[in-house]
Amino acid sequence: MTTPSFSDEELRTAIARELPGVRADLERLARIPGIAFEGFDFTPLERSAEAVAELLRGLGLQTQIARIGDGHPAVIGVKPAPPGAPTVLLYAHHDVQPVGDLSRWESDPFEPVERDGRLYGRGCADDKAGIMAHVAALRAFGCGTADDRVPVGVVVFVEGEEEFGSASLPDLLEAHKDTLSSDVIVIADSGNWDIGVPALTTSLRGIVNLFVEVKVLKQAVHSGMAGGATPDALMTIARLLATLHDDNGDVAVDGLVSTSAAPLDYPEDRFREETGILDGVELIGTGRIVERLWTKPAISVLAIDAPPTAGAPNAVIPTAKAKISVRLAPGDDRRRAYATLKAHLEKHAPWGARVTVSFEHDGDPIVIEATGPAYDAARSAFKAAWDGTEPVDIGVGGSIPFIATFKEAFPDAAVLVTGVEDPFSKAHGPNESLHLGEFEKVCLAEAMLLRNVAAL
Amino acid sequence: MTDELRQRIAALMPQARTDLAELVAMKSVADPRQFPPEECARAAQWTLDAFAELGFTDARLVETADGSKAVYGTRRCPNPDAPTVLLYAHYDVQPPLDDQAWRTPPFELTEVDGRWYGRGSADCKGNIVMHLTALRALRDDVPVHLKLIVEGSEEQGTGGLEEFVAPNAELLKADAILVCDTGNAAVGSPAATVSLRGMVNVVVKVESLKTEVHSGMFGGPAPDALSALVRMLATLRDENGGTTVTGLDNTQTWTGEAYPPDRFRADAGLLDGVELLGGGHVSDLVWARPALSILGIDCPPVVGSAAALQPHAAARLNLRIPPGTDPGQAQAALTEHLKHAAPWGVHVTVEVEATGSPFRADTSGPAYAALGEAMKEAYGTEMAMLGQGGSIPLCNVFAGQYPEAEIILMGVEEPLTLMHAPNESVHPDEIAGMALTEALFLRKFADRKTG
Repeated sequence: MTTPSFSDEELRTAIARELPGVRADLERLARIPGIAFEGFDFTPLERSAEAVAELLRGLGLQTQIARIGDGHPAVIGVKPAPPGAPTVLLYAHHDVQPVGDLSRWESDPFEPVERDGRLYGRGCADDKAGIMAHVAALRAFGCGTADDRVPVGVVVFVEGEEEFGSASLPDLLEAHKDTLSSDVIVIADSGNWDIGVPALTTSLRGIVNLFVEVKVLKQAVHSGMAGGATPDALMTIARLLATLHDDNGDVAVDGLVSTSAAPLDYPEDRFREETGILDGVELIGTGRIVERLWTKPAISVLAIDAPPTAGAPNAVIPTAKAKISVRLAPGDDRRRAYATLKAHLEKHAPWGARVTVSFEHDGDPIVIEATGPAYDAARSAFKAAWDGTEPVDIGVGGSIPFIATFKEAFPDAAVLVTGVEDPFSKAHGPNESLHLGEFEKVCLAEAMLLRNVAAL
Repeated sequence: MTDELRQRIAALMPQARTDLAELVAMKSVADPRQFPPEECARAAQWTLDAFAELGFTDARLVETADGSKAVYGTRRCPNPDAPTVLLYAHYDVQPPLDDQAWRTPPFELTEVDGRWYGRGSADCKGNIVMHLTALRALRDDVPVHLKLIVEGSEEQGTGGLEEFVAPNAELLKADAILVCDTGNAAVGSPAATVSLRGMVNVVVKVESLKTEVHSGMFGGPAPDALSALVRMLATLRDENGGTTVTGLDNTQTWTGEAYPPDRFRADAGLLDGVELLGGGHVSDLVWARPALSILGIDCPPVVGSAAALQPHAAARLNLRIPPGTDPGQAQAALTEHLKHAAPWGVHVTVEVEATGSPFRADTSGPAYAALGEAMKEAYGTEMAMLGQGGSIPLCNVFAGQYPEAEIILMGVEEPLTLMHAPNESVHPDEIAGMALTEALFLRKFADRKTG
């Protein structure tokens, strides 16, 4: 600990100084449509990995692009620790979600634009702002300049296929275990409790995504001729999918785990506002809202393969396929949950329909025991960055399967799940955005966190 | 007389095949977004020329309300007291749908295992060729006055010819109308179709959220429109698969010729182990009771779908209604049912796209008697009375306009034709057998009417 420590004020000034450049780099990244989903052109992922690598090289990090087999490119940048200082792994991902229905975007998803203090574009929050928060924190310490005063060892690890399930991640961690080994892991892919209220994410639901396909006929037949005695595949799958919830909207699949959540109050009005629930539409399920979001299972029908209503002929449809996403409460097991779902769907298949359940991807739920010096250092950094507001521990309804992978690979490291999202970010939806004011605080908090960790 | 006609028809079958191949090669789908309108124009002209050659000297194209052109013509016989028979068919066809699913080129008539495959080979170009073959077999000895109407937009459901009838009532007036757009109970089992279901098509839309939101972050308390829609749709059938639209009777039974369940399974192509629905006899379910099918759903397709809750979703529904059920009442019942079934306060709109009345023929007149005899002679077995699950709205128009006319539904479209689906085909024996039936019918009907 020979480097003189930065004061809060010095870091605040340094972040403010770096922010315009960080913003410009964020926009540059956000223009690259790197999507790791099946069926997409993967060449932009190569470009976004290269752009991230360039940023890390600009910080003087020893940088490489890494991949496993046909997997998508991850970027690893390393800066050795000063003598006696701990090493911090900074995680983010450079791939993004598909844009979905383009007509619902108010501006080009891959041309970031600021409106009312928010930066709109696919990946502007999830998770290119996570990458840039890491870059900003390092730049604040003059990383890579003649006056480099970064107080810790740093490994920046930016994955390229998080949104598609992080298939290569375990092998990447294994292959680069020595390089990635660290004392603290900062995963910047979550968010804060509210605008102005920072949070550490300490529980995440797991996920099981699966497909169910029903087949009833050899081919389509005229609905006049055969309708009535013939099951149509769309009705068959509708009746099957309807068994997944009860009338209240609670999950009706026996055998999935539910637990209880932190005593945070998520006011219904706020939830309605953040989710954009239409007037008169009720919330579904029972229990406190944070339980329904964080500690109970949820099932969503994400997609159905069917003819579009416009131009659908008067035909009885022979086959139909749906994609189902199941969110698992902390304490559940992804493999058992998949088996439970598969058995439920097979058992409830109506009318002798042939049902095929197949697996897409999964991740175990996570609970982080967020106590100890690293967590204290983080909380203190957050409180300072948010001008005295204490951070809260939150759950996340979403799944970040790779956190478990990190925990398994580095069992001794403290894992801090942070992030840039706020309740209005609409990650994964149209009009995803980043709150620029909060982003500055996130960058500052991360710089303070690095400083605080160095002092441990 | 019958044997001689039968021999003539056998000799005419090569020409029937050539004619059908020419017609099938014309991609006469009456939707300019899918196929050029010239394809329909060629099919219309071909039909016009073919009938003009058979004595319909005034054959011409008449424009109908939806812009499609029908082929119209007349052929008088020497006896002024002879009855008038209107012959109907349509020259437009369904689109081929899934090209991949066709085992032969859809617009190239191809023989496989004794059947002739191609779009329109049965529905309804096979019936055009049946008319031609019957008239060729009769040569100059056609003892009735004939009128011909071959429409060009039947499959579009745009009602061009339906609108044409009232303002042109004299043109089409006849004592018997042969609506040749159905078929026998099976190859070799002659039948008239005497009952048609009507239909109501609606699009139901559900909205719950302003926009897509992350299924992990918000899944649980947030109601997604697709789950809500699925729950609503599931209420339209009960556990047995019977259609359960509140307020619509679903206990009717069919009293005519039964549809053997095994044959229905084969005709509809049910996979092994898949159950027949509805808890009644097949004939009840496809001819006598309402039936709800989901035709399409608007939502993301599986490939490329994001982890997002859907803010809105829609489904296109097809409700078939049996004779005795009023389409207006059925439409109101379905709309009410859907609104009532909507869970969680989601916003629902129901848009009615099309309705058609059911139809039941009066089979007590001389034309039916003549037809029964003709079928018996042509096939050696008694004519059966069938229902049909599908709708032919034109029958209701004819029945309303010409209350005295006998309306006969028949043709070459037996259940194995797979009309409207890929791999449509016709059995040439049905073209021959029904052409013979038609020729015999014209003679017998003339005899009965003129004594």
